Amino acid sequence: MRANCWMGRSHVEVQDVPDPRILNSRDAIVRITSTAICGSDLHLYNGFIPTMEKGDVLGHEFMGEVVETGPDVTGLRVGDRVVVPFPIACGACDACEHGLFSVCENSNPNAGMAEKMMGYSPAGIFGYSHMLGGFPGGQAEYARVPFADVGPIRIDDGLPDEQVLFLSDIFPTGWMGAEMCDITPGDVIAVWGAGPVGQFAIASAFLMGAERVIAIDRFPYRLRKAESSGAEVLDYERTDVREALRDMTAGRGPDACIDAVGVEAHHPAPLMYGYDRAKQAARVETDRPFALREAIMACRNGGVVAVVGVYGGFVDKFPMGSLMNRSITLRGAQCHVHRYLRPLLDRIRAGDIDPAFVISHRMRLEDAPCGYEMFRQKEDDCLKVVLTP
Amino acid sequence: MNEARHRKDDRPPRAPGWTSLGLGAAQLAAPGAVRRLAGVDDSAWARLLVPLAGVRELCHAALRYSRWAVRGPAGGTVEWVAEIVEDRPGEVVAWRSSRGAGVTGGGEVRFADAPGRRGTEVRVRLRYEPPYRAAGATVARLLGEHPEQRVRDDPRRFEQVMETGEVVRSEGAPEGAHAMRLLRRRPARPVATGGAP
Repeated sequence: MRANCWMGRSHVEVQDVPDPRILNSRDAIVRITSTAICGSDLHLYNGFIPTMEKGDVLGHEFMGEVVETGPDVTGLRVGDRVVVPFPIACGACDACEHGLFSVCENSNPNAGMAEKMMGYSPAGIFGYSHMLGGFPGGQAEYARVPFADVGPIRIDDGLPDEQVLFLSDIFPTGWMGAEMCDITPGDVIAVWGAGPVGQFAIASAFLMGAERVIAIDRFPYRLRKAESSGAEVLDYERTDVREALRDMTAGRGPDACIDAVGVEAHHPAPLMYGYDRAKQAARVETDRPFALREAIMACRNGGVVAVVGVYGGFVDKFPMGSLMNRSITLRGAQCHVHRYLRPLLDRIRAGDIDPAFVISHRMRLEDAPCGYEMFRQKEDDCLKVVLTP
Repeated sequence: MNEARHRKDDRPPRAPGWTSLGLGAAQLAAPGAVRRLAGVDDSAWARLLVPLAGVRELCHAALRYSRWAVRGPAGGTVEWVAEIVEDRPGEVVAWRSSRGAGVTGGGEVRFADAPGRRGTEVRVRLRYEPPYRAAGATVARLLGEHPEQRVRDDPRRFEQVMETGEVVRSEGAPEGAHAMRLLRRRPARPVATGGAP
């Protein structure tokens, strides 16, 4: 089959690889009909996530048709149309039983590696480094899906791929970012990053009853998209964000802040950006936490900072004093996608939201390298690339 | 084996004997199921070795001792004879290995109810004196075969088998949790059909 493979920093290549086959009895093989490039794939592309190997198949947002099932798969049959959540979860461990699917205890065969980096191991993730399992991803014609009786959600009606594909990651991820903010009527929510996850966080915050949502980014096309969802916008290259947020909230600060940026944030001041970028290059620090620092400093006393942007390792100059003295709650997670599949599918069916609104480009799988480069360079107002094998 | 048989105070360790008998019988009767449960790849070698190992287990069981062999550093085999020194079902199994068999030491596995009905806590303790002592341990560690890593991998695989029914495999780590994968990684792409991973 053809598959998009990581071949080193800034280098992906669509190659011929063997077809996947069943390795565990609860596996299914899915013939992929739609897949997407995630902002977090750019962290891999740019070489910021450790334990990648040349030849790894990328992609963790995909859906398709079940073409083969292992002997112990129940509730899923050949021919079923499914969306696959990006974290792999067994459904039986203590974490899964408590709904914490992205920290499943059993789905990462390389848990030992993750423990060295993070203390304990989270779940395995499709196409996202060996530390997170060494599972091939879904930017391919076929994928093996472990625990197929737990993760994939069947789409029985005629909803087109583009409306349901993002249940695999970015819609639930944005939703959970907003959910972590404990939104009550009257709340002002600030969202750093108006990429696809940020867009879903904005839309979700409104669906949860936020009074105002403020989007922070530097690309006009992204800010326009946020505006069309009803958000007020701040261009951090033109505005002093903390000053503006203080003004907009009459000195209180936003009630909750969502970091939808993560490890590769930018800073308008070259000196500030250079400081962290240099440390990152020297491997003294792995992540550039501009958005996170600013979110904490900007949040109102007693507010919540929810982190759904992906971080890989360690950050410096963390405003701990601000967080502690001002009673800030910091939350973060890889999304527990499984929790949200059913309720969010119902929202899509009910017409509360059409997730396809983030799509800017449609390409063939063969053009994945071009898609990665466009997305990284933000060429042609690239917001979200959907690939068709 | 001789080593153990010549010791007069050795009481026949029953538990390993029965384990050996059960394992040997299972390996002979259903080698396929055992291979899958152990996460061994379905290669010609494995098809041959599993029943052979079964014969061996049965021999040991007949003699009511357990003899163990693990793949050591650089592909060698380390063997020893183990003697059960404590066996309380549902609570603890402890063993010690005889001396002069390449590796000496012992260990115990303890089971306890986790507080708040959160399942079972399994604690594995391993005492270990590697061949060639410190130098051997260093070499083994460099080769990724340190028992500490094994002791971390094994309960992980055990939990997977208990909770999901089998050892969880990925294309990048087809044999499941295994310390050697820290050194020799294969890319996360599908395993070619028929061949060994």
